[in-house]
Amino acid sequence: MTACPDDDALIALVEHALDPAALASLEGHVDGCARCRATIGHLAAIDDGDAPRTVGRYRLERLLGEGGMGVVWRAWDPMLERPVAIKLLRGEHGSGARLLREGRALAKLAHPNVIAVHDVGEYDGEVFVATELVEGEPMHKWQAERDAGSIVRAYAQAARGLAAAHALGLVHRDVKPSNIFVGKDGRVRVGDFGLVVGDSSAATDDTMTASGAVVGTPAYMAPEQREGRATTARSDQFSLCLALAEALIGARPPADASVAMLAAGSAAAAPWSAIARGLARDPNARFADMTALADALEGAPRAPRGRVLAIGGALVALVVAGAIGGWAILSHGTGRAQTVPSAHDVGTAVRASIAAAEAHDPDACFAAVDQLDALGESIAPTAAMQRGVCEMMAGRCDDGRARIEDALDAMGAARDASFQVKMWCPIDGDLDRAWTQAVAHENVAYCAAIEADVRRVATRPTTSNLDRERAAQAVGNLGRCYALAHRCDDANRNWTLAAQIRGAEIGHISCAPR
Amino acid sequence: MLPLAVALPRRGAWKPREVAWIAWHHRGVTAGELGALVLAKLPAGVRAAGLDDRLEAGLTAIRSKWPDAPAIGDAFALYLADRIAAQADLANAMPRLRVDDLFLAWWASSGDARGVAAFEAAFAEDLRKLVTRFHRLPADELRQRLRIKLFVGDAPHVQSYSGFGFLQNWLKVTAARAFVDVARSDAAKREDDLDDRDLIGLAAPAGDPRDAHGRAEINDAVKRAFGGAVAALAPRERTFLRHAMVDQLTLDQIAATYQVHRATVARTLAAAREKLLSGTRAGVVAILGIAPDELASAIQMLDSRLELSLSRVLRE
Repeated sequence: MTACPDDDALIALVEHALDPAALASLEGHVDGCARCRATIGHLAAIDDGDAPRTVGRYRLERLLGEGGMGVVWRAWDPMLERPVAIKLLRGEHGSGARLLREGRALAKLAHPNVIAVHDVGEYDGEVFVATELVEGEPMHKWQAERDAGSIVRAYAQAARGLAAAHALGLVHRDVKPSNIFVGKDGRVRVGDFGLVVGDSSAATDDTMTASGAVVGTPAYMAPEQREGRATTARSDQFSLCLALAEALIGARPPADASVAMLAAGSAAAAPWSAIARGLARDPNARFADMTALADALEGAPRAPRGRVLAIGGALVALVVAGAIGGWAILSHGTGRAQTVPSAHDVGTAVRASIAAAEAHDPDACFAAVDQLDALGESIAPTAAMQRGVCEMMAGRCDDGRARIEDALDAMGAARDASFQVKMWCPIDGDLDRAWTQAVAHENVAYCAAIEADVRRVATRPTTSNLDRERAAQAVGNLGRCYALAHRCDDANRNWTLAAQIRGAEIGHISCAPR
Repeated sequence: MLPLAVALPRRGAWKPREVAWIAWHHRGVTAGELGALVLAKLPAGVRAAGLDDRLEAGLTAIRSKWPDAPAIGDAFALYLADRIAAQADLANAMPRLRVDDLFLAWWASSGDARGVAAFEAAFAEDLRKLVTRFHRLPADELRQRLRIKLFVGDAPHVQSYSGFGFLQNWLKVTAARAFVDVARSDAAKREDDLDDRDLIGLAAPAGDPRDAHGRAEINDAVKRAFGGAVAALAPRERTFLRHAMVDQLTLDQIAATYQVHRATVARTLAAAREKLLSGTRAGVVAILGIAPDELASAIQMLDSRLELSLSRVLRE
């Protein structure tokens, strides 16, 4: 049996300050030593959480929470006579060094929307960060009871805070609702900068090291972060928009979700186009910086009443949509009284189709339409149009278009192209959309179905370098789509065309013939 | 030390010189003066950076907590210097230096009854809670034993408090250790095999129709099976279970002590209980070589009474 722990070890235990290695060794000892176990038992029993303990000059008062990386205490700063939050990082020297570095950088940052870092240092081998103590709630709790306008304004504040950090070259890497705090004063603060550190920590610049571990919370990660590619300030933008969309819709939409698709998920008016842009799969397609996103969130004109209507409204006439299976639900005239399905039921069907889109699954799409059909007459036009979207998803572009146009005709709605967001089938002249489609889908049947359209759009004469680049990318993505299905001839055909459009070879993955 | 003239009642008016002298003494030592005294007593080469701040904070606390405390002078400076010199990593430890706590320890160990009283008053609540935990032992005796250990003799134990870290936590550890030792020696004196008696009760309550021989066999089987099941637990499961059953700790107390999440403790305990039950059942069946359903009544008993008996069995 190991020797009994000395007084210092037990005192550290009482103070909850024993380092993990010593704690593990103590735990091993206690199993075989009834005397020490009883002593520890009595000490723990009289511990009502007020055992005094200090870290630096801060007196720890109450454990607020713990995570994988460390613990957070409520503490008192006797020097400045104010409460603070103290984060203690567990072990791992490399990550401690990085935390120190980030903490020092953040300490220079004074912004109303960033949790202020008061102090950072090492104490008894532990790295600690002393920050402002926010009396309030984390965003995921706060937003549960708030209306869409308040939520958007709160996220815009968070974006301002992140913008200030980005200006110092600091990327948060783990933006999520539980890392954003709303004080009782209503002020939003972003916290937990750089606390998420992989064991091979990220390089000092914004990018991950070549072998860099993926850091962040997978659910909110930007695609490039998830795939271990360069993580930049724009990755934070994606995560923030994803969290905001989730707050408004109740589900996390996929990357490249369209405006119509987002709007379909929620009855509320919200700056969907800004959110959709932040959710672009390609970082370059997002806002230039966080400030631009904040501006867009705050400055977005409210949709006039009556244009965007609650799902439970008197009459719904729908104009499609199509984004990946979503709809814009727009008001249509004053309407007749009708039995209207509950927002909940419509929302369920909408979510089913979002899931279908994420899975590139036309069967699921048709199943969602069946759900809509079951909701009765009032929703029939929606269902009819959505069926058109499903047809497109299955690669039958012409059928899909025809169905949508028929549905619009049946409703007496204009075939207003501006409402038609035909994500699944290209529209003449809409290069962006063609490009996005080819990026987003790796369903070879679908790629084959849209190939002719994409190539036609992409080979139109243009004088714009940007258009040329996008066209090359779109065609290149078709090649990638084929390559993943081992159809190398088809892949090479498209990559050759892409190289012709660009005037130079386009980077592509290698294709292995089956 | 105050002059005799101050300590004794005096007839007639104070002379101005005497008043000035008394005033100077009542002013008390300053942090700077105490620092100079301490530094003069430190071995050459010991750098006590940050000492002044600690002295300043400590003296302020001493004067507010114990206005009647003896004047601080050479003796305490030497006591403090010894402990500073004993610190291996002084630069790191300095922020933890607690001058007021060290003063209280010094005062109480000096043979001054007021110092002992101040010490016991400062930690009365902690001691009360701890003494209450040992309800089988007479409280007065526990307190007296601790008092003797801490303050009496050539080298009173309180002098081993280093001055770095909180005296309150040091005292809790010291007292818990002392009381546990008293309790263990007390239990050893009353060696009456509580565990066995308990297990017998567990396996064969009054009114059991089996004959004495059968009962003894089952008792033995249950005892062995139970011991085997306890031994088969993971160390952490055993420790948490003992804390929960024997020490009566709550989930939160176990979680805080071992710095794990409350849910982890709950999971560990649930797994341990389940393993203990199933392990004991399987063991009894195996040892007696009988079919599981023959033990139905014993197993039922095991389920319902396990909690009661666990605390005793787990003590060792």
